[in-house]
Amino acid sequence: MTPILIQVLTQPKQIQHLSLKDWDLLIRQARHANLLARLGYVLENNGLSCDIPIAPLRHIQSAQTYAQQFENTLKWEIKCIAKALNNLNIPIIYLKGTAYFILGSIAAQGRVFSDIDILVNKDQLEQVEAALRRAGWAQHEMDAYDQKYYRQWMHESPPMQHVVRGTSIDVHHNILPTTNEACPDAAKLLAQAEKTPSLDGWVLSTSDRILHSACHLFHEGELDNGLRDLSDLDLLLQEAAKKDPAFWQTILARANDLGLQRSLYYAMHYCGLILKTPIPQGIHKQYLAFAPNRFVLAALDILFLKALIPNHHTCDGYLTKFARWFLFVRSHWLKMPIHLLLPHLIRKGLKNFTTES
Amino acid sequence: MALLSLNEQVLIKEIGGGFLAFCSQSGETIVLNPITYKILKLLNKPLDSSTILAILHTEFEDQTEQLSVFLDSAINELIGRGFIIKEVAIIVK
Amino acid sequence: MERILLNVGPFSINLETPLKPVIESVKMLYAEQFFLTDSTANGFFDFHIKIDNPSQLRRWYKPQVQFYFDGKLPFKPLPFSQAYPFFEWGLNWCIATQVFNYLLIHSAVVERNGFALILSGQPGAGKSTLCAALVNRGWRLLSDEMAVVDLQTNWLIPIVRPVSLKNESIQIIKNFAPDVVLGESFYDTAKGTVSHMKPGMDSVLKAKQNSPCKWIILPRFVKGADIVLKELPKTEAVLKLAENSFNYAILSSQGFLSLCELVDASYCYELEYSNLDEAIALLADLPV
Repeated sequence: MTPILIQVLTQPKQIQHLSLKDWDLLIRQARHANLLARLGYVLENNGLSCDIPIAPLRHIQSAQTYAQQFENTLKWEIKCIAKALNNLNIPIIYLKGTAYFILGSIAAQGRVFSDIDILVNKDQLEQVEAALRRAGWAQHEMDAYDQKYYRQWMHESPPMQHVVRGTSIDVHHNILPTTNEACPDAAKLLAQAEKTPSLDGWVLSTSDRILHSACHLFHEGELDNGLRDLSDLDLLLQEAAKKDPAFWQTILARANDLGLQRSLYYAMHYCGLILKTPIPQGIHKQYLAFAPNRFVLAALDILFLKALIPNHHTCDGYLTKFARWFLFVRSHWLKMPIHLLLPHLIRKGLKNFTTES
Repeated sequence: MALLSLNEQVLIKEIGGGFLAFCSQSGETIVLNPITYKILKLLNKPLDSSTILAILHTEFEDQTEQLSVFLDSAINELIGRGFIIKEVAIIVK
Repeated sequence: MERILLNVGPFSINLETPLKPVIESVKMLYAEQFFLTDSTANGFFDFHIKIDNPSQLRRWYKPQVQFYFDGKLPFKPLPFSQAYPFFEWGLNWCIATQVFNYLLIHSAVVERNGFALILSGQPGAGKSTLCAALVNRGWRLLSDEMAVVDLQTNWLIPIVRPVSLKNESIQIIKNFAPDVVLGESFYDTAKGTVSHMKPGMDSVLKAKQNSPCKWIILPRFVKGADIVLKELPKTEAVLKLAENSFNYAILSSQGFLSLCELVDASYCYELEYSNLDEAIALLADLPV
């Protein structure tokens, strides 16, 4: 059976017929899926606020209060980052949640996250890190192997944390690990970045933001927030389509250009399947060309349809944990070719073993 | 000359004869002494620091000696904690 | 697995546990008025908590106990003997991390003649001891662990739960009020020895009556010291309570304004004491 949270996200009007017992389950699933505040905004945007009984409303309002304070902190943090990097006079491109927030996107409503992600030209990585260090951010101490892992294979520097505020920033030079087959040409992303009217920052183009969100969800294997991330894609796709009638053609062309066809396929396929995202008929036919072969797809359907549900024990079937684990392993498989991956995993395994004993 | 102004997201409260200020952007709560209170009140409209200093001189006559040193450090602190904003003035020719 | 449905203050709790010591302590220390049944409960619970062994193995070998917040594990397991205090601490954690529609301040709250007194301070300052003593001398208990402030009215909402006494306080309160009902003593916890005092009937019967705050006191127990009550500047009181609040930072402007109003309407003091009778006599004479 479809979890109640997904039922309500796809058909918000349903809440008019829920018992308090149903609400109990809905709030619990939404809380653990990190979608409690967003659930409130979805109901609000559908004019349904008055239909929420007081007991669940208190939890939704609490989550929204938390999310609002998060926005305050985020705004302050963006200012601090801008101040630290101002003198470099290079475009700082904010990614994912921070970008949605700066743009006032509907996908920013109720979205709480822990790291700010920025993208810069690889040549400027060093000076950006140095400037952040001067302004109080520091990297955790790391052994030579981990340093090498990040510097040689990853698409980001080791994460930095501000010593006073405790906030984290990840400085990227690409949106996928350089060892990933699908890793796009970063220069193409930078070339289409847009300056934002507020807060003096830059963001990726509309299509690139969505493609980034898609490759993050379907390549990186962190599925604890899987449904939240899928909901991001659903909202981003709908928002973009509303603003620009040519959007669907643009993103198909862009996926071809960047070599991210497969990620776009998964985004549209699972958004449509799980969250009933409206995708025009003509577009439907075109993106089907990006699908993997039907055996792979059948297997992934089994896994993703299990993994992309609320992370709550009432939704877990006997395969849920396995599905999340398998997709995590798959993400490593995609991250780097086997001749790099195997030694890496063995090394990590040995290290965990020795530190535990 | 840089103009200073009060961050819109600052609340100031008088309580028990003292003053408190809260900045919702940085989340900081601070106790204000009479001089910092006056500075924040003045910055309801943008001013540069020399104008502020001139006004403070007339109001806190007994402390004129230390005022300029105090003002500089107070302004730096208040900017760092988000209570006041430094704007670069646009010179219209 | 037994299900215990509780209504504490503004919150309803669905507690599941197969563990006898937890069931017995909860039934002994919570007033019967606070228990719900499936027919009296409305079907919605604010918190779903389970206290259980972390694994089958841990039932027999070095037994441990785990706190489940609706299936999630916010803490590492504790020794089995601490199962009941784990429930109390876990419930505090649930409220402190999930509730942002009230201002929550780490403090004890008692009431007399319709006015509430907030006792706030760092752990070890002696607020629970003083709170337990006061409620055995005519004050009503609103809460031992947190002040729950209604953001619309700024009144304090009772959340009548067992009062947690630590170390020497347990014996002090036993001597001070020989009739009190104390639960089991739990040794070697993170807070030392812990025992819980059952709230009196007066507090239980008035558990739905909110009160306006009149006094804010930061107590400090100092062995052998003379009693000193010193006025605390209100600006300082706001900073102290903000520091002791669980969710002030999240409530932002709303929290600041609410706290300012609360403090503005109250007399604020620092209290140094060593003798409970002296402290109680002094607090009985506070200005109204």
